[in-house]
Amino acid sequence: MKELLLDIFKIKTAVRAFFLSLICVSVLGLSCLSAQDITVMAFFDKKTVDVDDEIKYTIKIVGDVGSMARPQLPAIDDFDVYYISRSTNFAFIGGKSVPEVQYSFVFVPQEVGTYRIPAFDIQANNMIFKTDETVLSVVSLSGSKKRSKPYRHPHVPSSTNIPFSKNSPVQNHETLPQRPAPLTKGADKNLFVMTTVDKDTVYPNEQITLTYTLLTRVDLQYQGFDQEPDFKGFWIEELTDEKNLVRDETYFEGQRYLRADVRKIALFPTEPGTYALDLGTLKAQVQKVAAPNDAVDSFFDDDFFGQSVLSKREERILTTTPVSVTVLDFPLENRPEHFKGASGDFRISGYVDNTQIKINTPLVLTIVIEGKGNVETIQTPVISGPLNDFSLFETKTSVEKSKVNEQMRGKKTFQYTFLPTRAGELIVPEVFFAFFHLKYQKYMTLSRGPFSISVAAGRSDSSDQELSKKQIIPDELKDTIRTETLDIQYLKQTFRDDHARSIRIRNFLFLIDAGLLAALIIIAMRKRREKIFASNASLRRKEYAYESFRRQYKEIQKERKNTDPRFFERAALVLDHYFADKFDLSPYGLTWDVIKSQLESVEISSDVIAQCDTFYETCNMARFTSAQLSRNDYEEIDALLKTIGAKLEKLL
Amino acid sequence: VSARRRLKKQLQPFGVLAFSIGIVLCLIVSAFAQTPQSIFKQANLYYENKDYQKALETYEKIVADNTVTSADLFYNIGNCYFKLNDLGYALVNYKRAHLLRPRDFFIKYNLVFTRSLVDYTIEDKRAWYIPVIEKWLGFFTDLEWSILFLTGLGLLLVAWMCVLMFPNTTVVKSFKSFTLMITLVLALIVVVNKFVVTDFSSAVVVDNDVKAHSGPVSSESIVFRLVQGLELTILEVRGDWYKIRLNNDSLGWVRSAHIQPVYPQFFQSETI
Repeated sequence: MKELLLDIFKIKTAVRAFFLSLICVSVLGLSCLSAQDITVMAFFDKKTVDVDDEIKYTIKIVGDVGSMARPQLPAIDDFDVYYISRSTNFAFIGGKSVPEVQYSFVFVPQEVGTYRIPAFDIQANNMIFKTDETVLSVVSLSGSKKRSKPYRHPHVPSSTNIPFSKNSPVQNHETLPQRPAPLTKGADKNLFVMTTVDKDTVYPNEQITLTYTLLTRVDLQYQGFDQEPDFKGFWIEELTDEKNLVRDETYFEGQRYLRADVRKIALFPTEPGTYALDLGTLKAQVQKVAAPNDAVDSFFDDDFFGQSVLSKREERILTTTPVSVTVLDFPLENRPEHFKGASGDFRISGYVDNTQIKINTPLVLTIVIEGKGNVETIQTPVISGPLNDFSLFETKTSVEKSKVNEQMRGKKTFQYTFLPTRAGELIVPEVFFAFFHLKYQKYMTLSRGPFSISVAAGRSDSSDQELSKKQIIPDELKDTIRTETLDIQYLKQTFRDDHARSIRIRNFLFLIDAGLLAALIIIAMRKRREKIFASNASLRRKEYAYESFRRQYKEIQKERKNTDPRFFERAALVLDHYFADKFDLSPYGLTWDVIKSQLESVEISSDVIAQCDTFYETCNMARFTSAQLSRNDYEEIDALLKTIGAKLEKLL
Repeated sequence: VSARRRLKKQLQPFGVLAFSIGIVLCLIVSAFAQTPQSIFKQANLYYENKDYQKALETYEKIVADNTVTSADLFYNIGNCYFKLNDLGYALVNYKRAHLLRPRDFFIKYNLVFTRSLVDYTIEDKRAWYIPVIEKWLGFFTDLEWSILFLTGLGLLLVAWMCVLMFPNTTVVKSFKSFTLMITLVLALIVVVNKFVVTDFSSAVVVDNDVKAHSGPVSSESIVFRLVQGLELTILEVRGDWYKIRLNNDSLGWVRSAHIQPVYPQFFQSETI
């Protein structure tokens, strides 16, 4: 028995061991299968690199890894390492869609030599994968062994802080035109500034649009200017719309970049000459990869926390290429007498505030010059001829500027205040303004006036003079709020169908009017009828006879229901009244013979007359004999009365 | 009979299912159908993202459907053209919006602002009363004048009824006289506005350096040149040429491609 129990125990143990082994084998097999599904690759985009040049290092993980932390690179001496981006794609392998994750880094070598990037561990799906060892040769093509660091310590606080990330919304792709020497020598090809001017030969006061374009292949935050540009000899107008900085993707020398025009300036040269513009330096922060042995950073530094929470950023100073601009002198040929250096495309208008004034009352002449160009530098237009009859007190100017499609426009208003020195018909001489028309390349002279003023003689006592002194500076000449930019009003957010709405209202009113017209016609007809009845009582009786008959017929119904013998008397009276109204007779003393003769005169059929006769006879019998009357008799007389009334109304 | 009943009973669930699917499909289609309002909002989004070309195309979709005539729509189209630096078409659309809603501040502002950007101006040599009448009668649209007339007529009818009902009341008689006068004036305005003032032939130049010839052929001499945004009147249509008149009474023939009428529907036929 004991042996038997021992055998059974052994068998159970063996079965348990078998199932345990089976489970272990299954788990191991599945792990191996899933491990086989994930492939890790790490590679540089080229094998040889110049000192200070940048080389892209990509770690590609093919397979379903779910969410995984960014791979931590080992510390590599003589290299600056920057993390660029993470991208996810799907590849079709063997007819199946397989996810593919790529982490991109940029290595910037500092020393010449051959470097081995050691194999390192990548954790995905709770498993460790090893990358291959990579060899990289760093050479010095330019001859320098070690780079000279272009970094400068910033001394101006950043004016703007615009995120310049690859995650920012981008617009359409476009390829930048190839421009000569856009980069400073030794500039970083992954992040640089291009400066362009729309024209390099201009006349004084002609607009040059200078654009700072930032191109980047790395994640960065633009932080404004480190060193402001020097535009000595130029009038400057800012064109940058910082609130709506547009970013888009572009191609430059075959490479894809994220691009933004970070600043636009309108420059107006004031004097002829050749100018080399120092365009300053810009400041940006780029993301740098954290050291791998930092335990705290490695915890937070993954895609969940994003790149902006604990990512390490390095400040970069971006240098610009100087731009040369030639400013030509205005042509001497045909230069007008009144020309003072304005150029553009302008119009002139002018008026005096009053053409009839009293002596010692100020007169304000307003001259407005508006159009394309720099209105700020326009000088006061010249008044031709001597001002013998006026004292010129002051000339006040005001400027309104606007930007339309990056072209500066504006309006400059000159207000001349005159005081007439004598009474009479005086003349304010013509005002001239000359400018160089940039489109037609020729001088143009505009003028307004002369203005005739009638000055009346007035009292010249001291109180009047005091008053005139107070009026010397009228309200119109006082300073007002200046408009900086003129633009159209913004979009309408909702819309309504104006036409359909108006049509609906019009149709509704049309129906109302039609109803009112119908009501008016009815009222007018009734009024007319009443007027006719008022002058013809017999017609009125005839018209209302049946209405009266029906009313009286209803009144006798109570007596019929109660089988009151007076019903017959009243029924006969109802018919008597009807006939009296119809034939315009008195109802009192009306006899059947009279009624009958009247009915025969209007040719009423004999059967109706017979019915009437029967009705009267039956009523009289009921009234004057002692015969017992049944309910049926009441009903018969009632029905007969109703029938006679209806028939007669049709016939009479 | 029983076999037919059985068959009918068996097919009944399929009928119910088909009906249900039909209802669900109708609901889905109506939920995803694009209404003019939703298209308008989509276009606004494009505009806010500075994609003016796309915004313009989307607004034009609503216009092409021909179901809506809205001042807001033309105003926004005008804004798109303005941002695309096309002053001529911007002006045409602001003018259309202004005709539909003449008292709207924003429309008037953009119309005046766009006119101020036109490089050249034309002196108005028309009779002095024409601009005055245009200004005063232009305060309301044609339909609004009709509505005012119908309102006046309604009041006149009410006054007339009151006179019939209360014939000896002085106030009622005065009311009737007043409404009669108002209604007659409004009727006159409606007629004048409809047949005399409303300028269905107004148009705008949409290209720069447009040549106006002395006849409807290119070989005729050039009488003057026009720039984008100038407003004019079309007098006659001959082939793809318009005979135009400027406010300073200059006359010329211009290719129709350079001119955009404010009321395009009036220029479908060969002659006005």
